Amino acid sequence: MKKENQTQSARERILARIRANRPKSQAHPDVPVFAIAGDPLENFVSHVEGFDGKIIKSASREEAVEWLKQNLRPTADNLVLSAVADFEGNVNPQHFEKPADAERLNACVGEGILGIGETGSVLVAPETFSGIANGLFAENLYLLLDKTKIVDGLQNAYAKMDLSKIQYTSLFSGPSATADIEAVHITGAQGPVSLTVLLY
Amino acid sequence: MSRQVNQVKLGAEFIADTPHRESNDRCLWAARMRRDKVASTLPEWEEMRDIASGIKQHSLSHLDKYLEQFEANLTSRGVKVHWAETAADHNDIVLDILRSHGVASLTKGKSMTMDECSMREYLERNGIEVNESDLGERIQQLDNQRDSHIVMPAIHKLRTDVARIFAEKLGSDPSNDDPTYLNSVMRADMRKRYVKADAGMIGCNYAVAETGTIVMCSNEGDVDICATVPPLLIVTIGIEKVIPSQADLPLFLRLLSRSSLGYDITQYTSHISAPAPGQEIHVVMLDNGRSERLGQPYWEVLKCMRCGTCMNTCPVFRRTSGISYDANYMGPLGLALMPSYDLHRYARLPFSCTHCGSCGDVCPVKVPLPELIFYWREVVVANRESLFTHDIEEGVMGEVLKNSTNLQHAERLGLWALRHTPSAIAESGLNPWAEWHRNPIPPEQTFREWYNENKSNLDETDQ
Repeated sequence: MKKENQTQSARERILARIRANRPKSQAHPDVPVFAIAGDPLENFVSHVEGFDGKIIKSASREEAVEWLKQNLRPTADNLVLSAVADFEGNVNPQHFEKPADAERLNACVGEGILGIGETGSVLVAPETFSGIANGLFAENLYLLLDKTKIVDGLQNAYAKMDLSKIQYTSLFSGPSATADIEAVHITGAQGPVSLTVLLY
Repeated sequence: MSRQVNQVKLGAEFIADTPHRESNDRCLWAARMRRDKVASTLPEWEEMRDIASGIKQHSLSHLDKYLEQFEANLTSRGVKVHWAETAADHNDIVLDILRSHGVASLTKGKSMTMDECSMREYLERNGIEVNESDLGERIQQLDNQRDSHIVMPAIHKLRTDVARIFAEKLGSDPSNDDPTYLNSVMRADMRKRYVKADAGMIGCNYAVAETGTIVMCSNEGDVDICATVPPLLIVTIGIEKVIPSQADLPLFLRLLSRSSLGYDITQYTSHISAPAPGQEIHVVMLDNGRSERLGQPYWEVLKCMRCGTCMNTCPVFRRTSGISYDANYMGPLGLALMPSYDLHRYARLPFSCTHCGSCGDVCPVKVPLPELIFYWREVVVANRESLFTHDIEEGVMGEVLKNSTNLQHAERLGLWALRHTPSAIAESGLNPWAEWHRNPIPPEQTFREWYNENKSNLDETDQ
């Protein structure tokens, strides 16, 4: 690219100015892990609901999957993509030509990696939805989550991650939302309109 | 020479528009009240502010090291990192990347850093279709107006304004101003644009050096779509956004959304450390004066993480709206930052402040905003960029506050003047304050005189 040489020297000039101007060295403060009050599962449920998400509690994974079978019922007018082995949808993401083909999905089912009591967030990755676009474009999102994978707070969650090893991950906290018009809260901005967490 | 921004005049125009003023004030104050409520649930809140400030100070004092580490980590995974010294360099780099990939249209998440470069306008002039994907930002783009807030760009508008703009530009029903309907218009329109976009562009909330991770915090889902759906992604990052490690990140996240809108977290907190299969990622590190600011007395303004809480709390901002600052960064942050971009153009901004100090009290990373605003007033006066009345104010107050004897004399003189100046003069056009205020009834004595007379009694009461 024609700018390569120019930006290379820009880099050196920027770094030189930083070295000349940086403030006196200051130590990194200790960061304690703060305790989160309350039961993590109860906190998780109340926060998911606080973010307009829905919670379905099941005694077992089989029961949670049965709920999906009873409630999702894929048809020609109800395109359901499932990224979990024990529930079958009617869309094969391998047939997508490009990620934006996910735009027509009615529902997408995936398995959350972990949950956070403090915020009601569920950690997801591209594999969660057989491609992250599926989890962003689907109208309704269903996330199975093993309740033993719920941690107290954000600090506890990040202690379990290694961001240097990921391509993309995200904490989904309720369905997409906006309050950009007169601060009126609207669920279902540009991503999913609904998010249901199936705890088992 | 650039035209000076007259925030007082522009603010007065907004104040005169009662429905807009009341809505702006109500929405922002509600965010501030929610912030107080969620902050009060965390006993460690003030301790976290101290730590966050300390981490930012540490990062900025080792900025070169962390930037190199961030770059090396991203580069090792196939991300192309560019460095832009100025806004113009930034825009040239971006346009070059877009042209070399044959990009005709792109979707773009909200980014104050890109706005700082006037990038959208530059790309549009060069034939690239830019579609803002954040609802508020899209409203402002379609209305051809600057953002009025760094988190809620169209918060100064009423739903009727949005209905009119969407009807004109997107063909929606002009008589329907229901925000839910207007959101659905935006959603349907953007879906078509996401599908055809050749590239996505986003900003960055935190750049984690240790892991080489770009962190984005958003609510609408649009930023993640821009970042992951098109085959080409360009990320603009101000060099001050780098933080040392993954362990630091949750501390900032715990503060960000709670400060900004009063919620525990944003709907999407996303991390990108490498391109997806088939995806190409370019990162543009923007300086645009930041490396110079690092060596200035106001360097702590670089700690800012753009939450907007200083704006939500500011009594001037809430009544006059962000539009009245005619600047990329507005409110208390704008007062403390914009003069460093163009001292002449923004010379009057540091005087649009009541000295209530609230911005400094709520800032999650303890940017000393009130002190920085005072600093810029001194600079403006020293550089003869101030108004005559500001010169008098600064000159007189400089003498009055020099020592307690001067202050004591000034108190007596002030009381005498209050008693003896005819209201025809005191409340005339010579005194702009009097346009909205009447002089108080003069007390019998100054506070100091009263205090000295009653001091012994007060001491006894205390005991």
